Formats: sequence, structure tokens, C-alpha cells
Amino acid sequence: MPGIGEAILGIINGVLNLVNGMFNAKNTPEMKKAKKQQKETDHQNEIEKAIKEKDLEKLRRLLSE
Amino acid sequence: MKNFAVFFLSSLLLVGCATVTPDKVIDNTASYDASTPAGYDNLNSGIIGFAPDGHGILTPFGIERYNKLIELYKVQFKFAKGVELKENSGVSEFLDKNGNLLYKLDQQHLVYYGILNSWRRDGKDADSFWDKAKDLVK
Repeated sequence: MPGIGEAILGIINGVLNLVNGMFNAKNTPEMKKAKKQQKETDHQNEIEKAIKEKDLEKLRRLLSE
Repeated sequence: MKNFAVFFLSSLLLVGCATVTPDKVIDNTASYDASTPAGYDNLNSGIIGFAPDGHGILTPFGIERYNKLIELYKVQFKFAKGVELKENSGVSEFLDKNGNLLYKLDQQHLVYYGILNSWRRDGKDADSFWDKAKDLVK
């Protein structure tokens, strides 16, 4: 019986390590920076589009406090 | 019994890993502007409309907020976008048909205003002492 408990713990440990590894892989400083830059670029494109199309309501939402 | 306790605690840890992060709150309405002249909707985020030349027409508070954002992020904006913003950059005076003094902001600076506003909304820190020092050295 103790062998089964240890096996289960080993599996849980393995799963946790896997999840941790995946999390770290998705959150390297470079990836975080790239994600942030992409978000800023998307936002800038959205503002430019609202101005070009003279979409006042959208621009007001983008410029709200 | 000991193994069971370890197993139980490990299970709790596993459950604890499943942290749910709430979605970011996004404003869907324009903000109120007390400096809006009579005859205009005052839920306008400081922007009244567009002039025929495409420039944005802003209220006095709208321009005040724009200048405040420049003051907060001037150095970081310069490093990020390569543009040095000064107070009232891109701003000119505009009188509406009722003689109310409003302000025009050109399209390029309207985009900059939007970027600065998004920084503020995202909680980005204002220019630090070190940012300003770096700017002085360069």
C-alpha cells in the first residue's frame, strides 16, 4: 500500500512540474515584453482607425479616464 | 496515515494552483467633462467632435488632461516613440459658432493622446527620477 501512495504522489509531482514548466515557458521576460508591445500596437491601430473613420463614440471610449 | 496526509496536502496544493484571474475591466462609456460648453453632450471624454480638417475638437479639461499626461510620461514616451512632446504640442485654439473657446488637436497628437491615456489606464508608472536623469545625460 505505501508503494501506491508514493506512486500517486510521484504522478502529482510530475504533473505540477509540467504545469510549472509550461507556465514559465509562456512567461519569459521576452515573451511578456513582446505581448505588451503587441497590445500597445493593437491599441494604437484602434485609435488611428477611430480617428480616420471619425468614429467619435469609439474615440471617446478610448480617451475616457 | 502519514502518506495519506502528504497526499491530502498535495491535493490542496494542486487545487491552489488553479488561480482564476479576473478579466480586465474595460470602460465602455465616455467620461464626464464639466468644462463642456452648453449645447454639447458632456459625456464626451473631453472630445467634442472633429473639425472639417480632421483635427479633434477638445474641451478645456480635455486639453488639461492631455497636458497632464505629457507631464507624467514625457520621457518614457520619448524613449518609446522617438517623439518629444511638450505642453500644448499639436494644440491650437478654436472658436465654435457660439463663440465658445475650444481647442483643436491635430490627428497625430490625438493618437499620442490615446497612447498616453492607455498607459495611464494600464497603471504605468510616471517618469521616474532616473528616467529624467537619463534624458538629461543623453
